[in-house]
Amino acid sequence: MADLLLPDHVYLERFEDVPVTAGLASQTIGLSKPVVSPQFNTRHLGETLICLARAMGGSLAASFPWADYETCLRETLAEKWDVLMKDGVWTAEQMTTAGSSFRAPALEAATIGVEGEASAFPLLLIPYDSLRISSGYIGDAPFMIKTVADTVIKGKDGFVDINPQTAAEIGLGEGSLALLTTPCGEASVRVHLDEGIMPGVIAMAKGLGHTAYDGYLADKGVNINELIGPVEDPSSGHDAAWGIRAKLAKA
Amino acid sequence: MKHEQQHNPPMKYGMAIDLDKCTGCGACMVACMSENNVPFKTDESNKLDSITWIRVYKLTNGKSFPDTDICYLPRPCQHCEGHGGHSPCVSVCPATATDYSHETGIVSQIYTRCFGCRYCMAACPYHARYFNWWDPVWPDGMEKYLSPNVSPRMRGVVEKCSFCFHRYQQAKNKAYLNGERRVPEAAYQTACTQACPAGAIVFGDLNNPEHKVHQIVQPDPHNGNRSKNPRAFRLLERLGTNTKVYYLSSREWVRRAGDNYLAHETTGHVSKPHH
Amino acid sequence: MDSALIPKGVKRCPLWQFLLGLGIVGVVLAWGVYAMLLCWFKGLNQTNMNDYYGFALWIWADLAVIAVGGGAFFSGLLKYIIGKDELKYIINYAVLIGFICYSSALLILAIDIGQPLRGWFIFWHANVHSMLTEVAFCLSCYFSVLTIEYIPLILENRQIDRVPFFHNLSHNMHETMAVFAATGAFLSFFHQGSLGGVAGVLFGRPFSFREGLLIWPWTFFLFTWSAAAYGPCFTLLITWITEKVTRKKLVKDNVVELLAKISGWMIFTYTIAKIFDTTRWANITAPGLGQTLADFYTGTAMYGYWILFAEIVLGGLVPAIILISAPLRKNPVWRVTAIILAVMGVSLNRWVMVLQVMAVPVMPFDKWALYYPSWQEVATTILPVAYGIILIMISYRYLPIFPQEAELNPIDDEPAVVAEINTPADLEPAQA
Repeated sequence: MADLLLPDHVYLERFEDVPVTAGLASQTIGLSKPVVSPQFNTRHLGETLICLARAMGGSLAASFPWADYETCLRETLAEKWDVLMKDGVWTAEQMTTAGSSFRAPALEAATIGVEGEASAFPLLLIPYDSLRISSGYIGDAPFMIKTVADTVIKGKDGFVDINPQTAAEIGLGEGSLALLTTPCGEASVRVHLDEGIMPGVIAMAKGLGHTAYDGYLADKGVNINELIGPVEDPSSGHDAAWGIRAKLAKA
Repeated sequence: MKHEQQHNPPMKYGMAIDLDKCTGCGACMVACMSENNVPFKTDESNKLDSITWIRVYKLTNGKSFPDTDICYLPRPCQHCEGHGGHSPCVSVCPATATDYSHETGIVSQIYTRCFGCRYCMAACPYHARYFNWWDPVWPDGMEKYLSPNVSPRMRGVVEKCSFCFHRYQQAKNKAYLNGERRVPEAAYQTACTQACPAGAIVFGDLNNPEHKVHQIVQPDPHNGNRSKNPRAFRLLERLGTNTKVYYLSSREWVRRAGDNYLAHETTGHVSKPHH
Repeated sequence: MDSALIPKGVKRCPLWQFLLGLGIVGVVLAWGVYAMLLCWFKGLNQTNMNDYYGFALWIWADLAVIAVGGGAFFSGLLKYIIGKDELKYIINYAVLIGFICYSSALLILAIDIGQPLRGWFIFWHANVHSMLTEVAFCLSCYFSVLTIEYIPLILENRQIDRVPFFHNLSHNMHETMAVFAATGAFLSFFHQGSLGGVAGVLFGRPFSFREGLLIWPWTFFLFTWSAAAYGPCFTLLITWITEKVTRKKLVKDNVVELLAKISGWMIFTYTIAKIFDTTRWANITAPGLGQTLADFYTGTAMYGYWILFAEIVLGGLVPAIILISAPLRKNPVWRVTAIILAVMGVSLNRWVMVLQVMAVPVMPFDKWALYYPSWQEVATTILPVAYGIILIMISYRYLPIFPQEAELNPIDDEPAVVAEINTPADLEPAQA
């Protein structure tokens, strides 16, 4: 547990360079600019580091010679700064790649099995990202949670999407309460019949079931992370968690 | 100012929403609520009393997996012109609290005059009108974000999408100060249009051939303002509501979902209504 | 104790019993008032209405009480203008019932609007194209007419009548009553009609939209006609209930049968018109807008085809035939059955024209919306019923509402009033 908390500005209150880490052909950097003055007694993280370095003195202070974070950004971004201030985004003219061949050792590795026995857990539970639900640590702001459909959260209840055919086999109708069990845990959910989902598969939105923050977000829906466990990708060692076997029963 | 207005042909602000571009992300809804001081409650999952001036509906083609296709349909107020400004809601309001502007084609809502009879809501087949069942309450400190250009609404009155009318007023003032006769296309855009990451919403004056929305829609004034674009349709066009929000899709099932059709009727071809 | 206020020649229950009755109904009234105050102070979130059901139980109650309150204007029209003189024996009660119905409607409207303090905007910022504006104007005017028609009745109270001024005022008002009856009928024609227009003009809703015939929409005529047709049935129903409660015959059979017969023919002609309306709407109007009967009546279990049958056959043709047929009409069991069916029929029609309109989806991708009222809505809807009962109790006790009562219920000896005071034990069983 931390002994010291250093509250930072939020993104609307600060300068910040935002490099695009993947997905684009050329190197791209965005710049966020403050649009409101800080609402609380907070300080830019960069500013905090500069102050700390200055206070510690010596070579550390020498490594952080800027008066403030904005100066630091301007100097380090150099010629990109003007473009960023004008257009908000900077894109590299040309980009050389390291090579022209593509190797993926994972393709030769064995298929990763999903956790759970098919006999005990006949369904496959898949978490999905919804454009209207922030699955990061901050969670949805009130306006965003307001856009979430009543087939995803209704009151405090979260939903799983299920094919009508699969639902009929279990005896569930639109909006029925059901008990969802996986090898990792169980939760009470409602079901939403969705023609578009594959029979035998059920899906649940990521980013719900928060315990933190206020009444606009907390306790709405189910945190799917409590129902799925980590599965190791043997080639990379990374977590390949993407689903788990599950069982639905009428509540 | 009056002098100038007389020489300006009337405008007809409207939208073209490309449903094949819409991803259903909901950014238009968030932008709209934020722009227009729309209140929120801790539980907004009862969509029958949740105020969303623009609401994104999810449509499906009704086919089973794997042939299911979905389409998201954003529905702002359709700003019906009806026949000569006889829109379904304007004609029924007993207190003239909602009005059709022949200058802009925008259906307005006067919150301080509305006494909450809700007849307009009964009249609107699009459910574009919302009642303030509750007092708007903002969490402490959050009232700071409220836009000073839009009046918040009190309990007991009806509200709806205004095509961000306050932006029109500001743009009009600016145009006047700049000595421009007309509000430039880019100077007046709705919040949802600007927020749409897919560029699915195009907003402008349907009467102005220079505006993109006119070029996309190609409204036919001799045919009840129906679009000449084969991809375009309007919601419940055959009711004679004569809306100013046009939708575009290359998918036949999506265009068919925009109106009620009898089994033998082909999409886009219907008999004239009887009134 | 209050015998001096009771009309001459009739007998009333002891005061304690009357007060006890008032108290019991008063509790219901207080419950309704509490709910009304909740709605006013906390807002319409106290109801189960929502953005799909902007119109719900209250608007139905409004339309229904105004329809059944139509007995007042139509009886007045029959008596004063058409000259059915026998109806003078029931006209007082018809006026009282009408007064209760219309004051109830105004009260419910005052609860129903989201900003009650702005209710006057409907007059001040009136939109002449709106059916509701016409309703508000004619409703308020007609309520004034009903008040004017009710006042002479109050002035006939034994003690008030002693004051020469009131006696003369009452007499003069009676003399000019035909003018007010004509005015009332005129105003009623318009507000009943415009109430029909409320649903008929909704061209965004194929379920309620109707075309025009001289006037657009023709629901104008359907509502006026049905109010005139069914209103007398409600007058007769309340009269019958009053007779049962007081255990007295209050109106002679020939009067009741005359009104029942007229009502029967009116219902019959109305139902024929309604069948024409329904046929045209089902085959031409709605399909022209892309919707069919199946869209309207098969989406949910509640709004099935049964509702059409219940409204047109059970609440239309059946009571009409019973009331038209002389032998059936003269049989009290058949007559009362027909009257009850008729009142249910017209109430169901108003329900359909308000609630089902809201329930049916119009956008093809929209869903049916069902609704049930909250207790606050139910209590505020029962409130006018309790208020009506109280007004009837007081009026019946102290005013000569039923001119034939004394003749139909002769009191053996005149000094009975004195006897009542001295020997309460000798009283007849409790009444009223």
